[in-house]
Amino acid sequence: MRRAQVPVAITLTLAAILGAWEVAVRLLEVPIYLVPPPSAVYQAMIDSAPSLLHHAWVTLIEIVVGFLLSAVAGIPIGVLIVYSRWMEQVSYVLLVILQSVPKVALAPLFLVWLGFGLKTIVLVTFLIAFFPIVIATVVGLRSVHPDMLHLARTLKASQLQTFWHFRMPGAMPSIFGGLKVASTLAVVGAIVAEFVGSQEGLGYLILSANANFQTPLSFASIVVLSLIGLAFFYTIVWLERIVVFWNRESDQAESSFRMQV
Amino acid sequence: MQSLTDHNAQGVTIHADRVGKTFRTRSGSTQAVKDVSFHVAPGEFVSLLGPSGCGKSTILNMLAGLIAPDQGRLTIDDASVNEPIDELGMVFQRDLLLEWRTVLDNVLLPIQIKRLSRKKHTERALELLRVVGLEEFVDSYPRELSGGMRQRVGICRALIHAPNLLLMDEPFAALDTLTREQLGVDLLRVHARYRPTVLFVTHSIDEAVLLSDRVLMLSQRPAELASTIEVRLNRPRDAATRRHPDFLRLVAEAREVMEASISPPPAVSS
Repeated sequence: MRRAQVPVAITLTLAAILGAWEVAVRLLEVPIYLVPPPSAVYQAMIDSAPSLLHHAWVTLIEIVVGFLLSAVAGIPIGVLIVYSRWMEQVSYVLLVILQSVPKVALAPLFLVWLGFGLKTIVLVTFLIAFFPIVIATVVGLRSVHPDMLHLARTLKASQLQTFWHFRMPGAMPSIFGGLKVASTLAVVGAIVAEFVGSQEGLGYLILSANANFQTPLSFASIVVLSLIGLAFFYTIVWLERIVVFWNRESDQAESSFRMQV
Repeated sequence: MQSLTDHNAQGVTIHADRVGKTFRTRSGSTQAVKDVSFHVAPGEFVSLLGPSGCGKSTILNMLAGLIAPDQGRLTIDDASVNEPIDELGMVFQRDLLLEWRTVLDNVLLPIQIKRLSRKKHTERALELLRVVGLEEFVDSYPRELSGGMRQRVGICRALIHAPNLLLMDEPFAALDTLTREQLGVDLLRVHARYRPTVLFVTHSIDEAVLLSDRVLMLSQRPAELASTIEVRLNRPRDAATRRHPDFLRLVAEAREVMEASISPPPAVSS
């Protein structure tokens, strides 16, 4: 298939699935609170647009803040793990242990400590998104070829010069790989945290719509949430193409997204 | 235009006196180099020729100041080599170009690291790229170049700061034969123009004879000096030199010496 034809094919396939869904639900007379037809979901989106937008905005802020924190903390920690023996031998192990604790299980505790609201949700989002960024940074920095470091030494490059000119740019493709994984995890983190305790956000909206048998609204929230996730992921892909312009592998972004989802 | 050969001081003198190196690992120790002695005059082009894994690269890395010899004495211009000298250019088997820099910025990398004036060296970079025929690719990125072109950029980068010593560790080994021969000719031109002392590690007899003033033949590991061949072919040399009867005679001679002096691997003792 030629590249330009791909979007057309995707749209047609999606339209076919939605059409089949609509027809099936109507023919089988499935109650709307069980499975609403796409037309009802669309209607719910129109009717509840202001509410959806408000909750979407809240969730978006949680996702972006949690993600940014995980990047701002994760990349330097990855650097320290590569450069410091203590960090590598002690804190790396601790990080792996931390990673093995299900963050969702911690969410009720955070709720007790930090209360309802942004802080708790951002903390859960941060913890879920943070680990892949650390790992990707460590892997990226270690992937430098030993001869590259020999070259740096023959030029008498300082540690700092070696880092900025040789290691860090070389690690960028891997770091962006980690950021892409983190961007999808951040969405999961925010929603799960909202499930545990919140009065705002799309996660909250999904729960409350379910409780009131407003299934079309629940579906509409999921659609909006998916759009946020998609837009967020492709923002990272777009950034990657600019920053890591020399790396053709960034064209593989779509396939790595499919793997994540 | 200022002549670039002027401010390029003559190459360094190298003395190796019974140099040896043993690597210790958990599984035991391996002697890579044993009792190697040689002398290289300023501006001389010397090849180290020997079978793969014989310790040629170890000698080069000791000269680069990347590893220290544990026996004997190794000096560059009468000073022991404790760290890389300032006037060192090195080319590796991989071109090691930085993909995120243009060709020109790759060539200027040593200037940036050594905090020298970019302005002053840009002209030299352009001239070097012209000598190896890459003037049209100054603003290209490495991924747009072929393997041979990339290694040419690597050579220009090694020469940008007018080094007195150029160490080349099988720089053409990853290239196909035709490209390899073309780069040899380019290297002859570059050496004739800038006259640094060159130590060139290879396992190609043809290449060693074409390029060098002298070929040092090394035995299998631990590398010992098996013999030396003086290459008395007139310079400038070029691609046509390969067809010269003297060249063919020297290559045949070198092959004979190599076969005679390099003992077959010792039989496995029970």
